[in-house]
Amino acid sequence: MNCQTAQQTLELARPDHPEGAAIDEAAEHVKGCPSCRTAIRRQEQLDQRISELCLDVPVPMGLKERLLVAVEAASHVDDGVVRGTSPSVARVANSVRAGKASVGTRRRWLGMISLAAACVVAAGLGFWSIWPNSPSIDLDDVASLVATDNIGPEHLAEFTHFGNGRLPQFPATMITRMLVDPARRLENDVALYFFKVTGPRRTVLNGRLLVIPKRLVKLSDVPTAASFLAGPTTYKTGYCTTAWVEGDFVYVCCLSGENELHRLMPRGAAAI
Amino acid sequence: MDHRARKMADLVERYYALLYRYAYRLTGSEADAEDLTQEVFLTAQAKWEQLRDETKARSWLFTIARNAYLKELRAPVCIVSSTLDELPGADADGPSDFDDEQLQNALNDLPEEFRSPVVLFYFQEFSYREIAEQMDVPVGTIMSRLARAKAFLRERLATVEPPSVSSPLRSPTLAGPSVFASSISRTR
Repeated sequence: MNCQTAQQTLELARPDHPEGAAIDEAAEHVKGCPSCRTAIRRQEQLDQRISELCLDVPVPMGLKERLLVAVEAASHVDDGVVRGTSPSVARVANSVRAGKASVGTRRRWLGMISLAAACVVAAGLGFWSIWPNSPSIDLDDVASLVATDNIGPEHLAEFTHFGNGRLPQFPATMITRMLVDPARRLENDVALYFFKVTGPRRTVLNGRLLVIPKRLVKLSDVPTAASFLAGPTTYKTGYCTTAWVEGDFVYVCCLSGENELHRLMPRGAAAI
Repeated sequence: MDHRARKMADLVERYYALLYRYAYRLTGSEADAEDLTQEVFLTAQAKWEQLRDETKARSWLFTIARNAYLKELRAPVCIVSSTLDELPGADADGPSDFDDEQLQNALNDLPEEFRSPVVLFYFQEFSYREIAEQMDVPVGTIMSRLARAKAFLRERLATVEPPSVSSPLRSPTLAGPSVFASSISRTR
């Protein structure tokens, strides 16, 4: 065996090397060859250095937690069934699924689920549809309903105006240029805007903005914050939400990701 | 938490760091590495039923990582064949004191089919058979690629010069057509 072959054989020597006999032969050659011993030693030093560097890559802080959140969020949709939501939504969604076992595409799935979810919201919001002026909308319920990747504008009807004829009004304290027009109707008098923004590391963050007449929101739920991000941020699986009041409307903003709502703050506005 | 969710969380705990490091060495970018790592676990969750032997979960995850990375590449990349062909002689100078950036630059200039096995080799976590299975090539092909890749790194890191300006590759994601010289074997 010549020097080049011996060195090439030994530099890949590991217990699971497929040609053990060649390793033995190369080792025998190196025993009697000083230049090969030198080359092998240099290669081992190089290998050790490269191996150390390959493994010495700092892992971003919080990566494990972000991955666990992402995996958990993804687990809330399984085979098109919305899980981890309120029992009523899950029951309706599952009954839709059972009754439509032959449903093919995921798009139809999501359409049915979101319609089912919208029905549940209507039922849960309850009597305000009969008594439209009754303040009964629970902000946490509606936020939970839309703070998910399962609902898209294609699943909901277009929203043209509120029951009193007024048009949805954009908030003044939040960036709104990315809102997808027209709004969608979540229920009779709840307008829902979908949007996307660029997040950290060029990720795409999904956003929702609810515009709800203040008179329809449960009195105990009406936020005290009078501008975007002036109030507390709440965390739902995969989404951050915040609510505030401007004029006659309550706004609820939901954005996917770990607390990226600040990206929607207009420049020059005071950060909370 | 149901069974699958527990298993997924366990896989994240056990392999996220090593997967991230692999993704970083493949992509050369922290941001891309994190995205790739997340994509691996989400894909694994979606295709959980494909994992029939949980003892092979690690190899399975790394296979997903490599496949996901390959999908993102806009074009196959390679370096000019002569750089891989010119194996240094037995009396080549020993390695100089190179740093992480110089190592990554050298790795970036390797075609992916050489970069992946050499990174896995240096992680010292995978047998030759596991590397071959991940890349879906025979063990002999892996040995050959490793020998060529290590020779390339040896030469590059011994001189510790910045990559040639004329090199078509500065980043694994460089777009554009590239031609494999005939001397770089792509045989399975």
